[in-house]
Amino acid sequence: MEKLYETFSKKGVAVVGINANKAEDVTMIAAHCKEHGFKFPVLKDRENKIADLYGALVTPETFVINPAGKLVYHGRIDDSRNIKKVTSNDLTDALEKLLSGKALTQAEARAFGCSIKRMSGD
Amino acid sequence: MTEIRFGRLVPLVLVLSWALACTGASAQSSRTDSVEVIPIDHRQLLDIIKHDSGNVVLVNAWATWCKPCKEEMPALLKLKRDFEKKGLRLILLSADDIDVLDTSVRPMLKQFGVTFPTYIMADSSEEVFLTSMNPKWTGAFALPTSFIFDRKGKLAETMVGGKKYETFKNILEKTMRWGVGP
Repeated sequence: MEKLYETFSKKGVAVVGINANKAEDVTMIAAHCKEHGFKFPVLKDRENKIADLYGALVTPETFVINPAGKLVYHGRIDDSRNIKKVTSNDLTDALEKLLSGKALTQAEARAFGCSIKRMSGD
Repeated sequence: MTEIRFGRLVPLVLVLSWALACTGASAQSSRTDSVEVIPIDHRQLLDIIKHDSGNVVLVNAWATWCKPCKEEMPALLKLKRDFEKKGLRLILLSADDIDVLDTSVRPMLKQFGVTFPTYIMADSSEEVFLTSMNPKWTGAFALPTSFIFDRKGKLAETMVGGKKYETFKNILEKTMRWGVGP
């Protein structure tokens, strides 16, 4: 995500990380961001309200909103957790198309990851 | 489509929901051969479920990098102990990359005390696996996910996220009752 932020923030894309896991507090999140050198803002969704609003189930799950405020892409960053096996950079492709004014060919690509531990969950 | 408004008109990416629990690899260095982990694709898995006549089958998709999966594992192993004689078959299916089978998957199963054969996903993608287990599922593929098949091999429940023993127990008892009688 940091690499994506470095690339696309220069092109006018705002990147926001949101942590909705009930087991992780702001101190833990801040330490993690520092450790990994994240430069993009990270917010804490304390009661999963944002996750619920967007219907987010996993980490990571991305949502791209166009300048008109419309959700235009939802889903995975790419198609493999193993960087050597990535064949499809879905989020990058969506952003590049959006920035170049082209129509997005794919509005959704199923995300895969850990479930979000919600306040109301087991 | 959800619409939100911002003062600045720029494209926005929400990484929702990035989390610490999913970012740490759990790789360990020692090779452990004592735990049997069999590569399997969705066709082979569905075949096992279909031919496991009379049992309720719980397929749990998990991964070594998934903290909620690890937290849930003791409950699953207790379910196996408590319900196996009543007709439960527990299938643990790792969604890890097969490259980490020896370095992460087997050592973690050993840590959990698993001695029965388990499986690792050999499908071309997680998408292929998920849609074969539950063709109606439209959301993200969240780990852990448990698929409960009734005694006739029909999908009865898809349980997303880490669950407690009691939650599983209630669903299993209900599913086991369905399979009894004419």
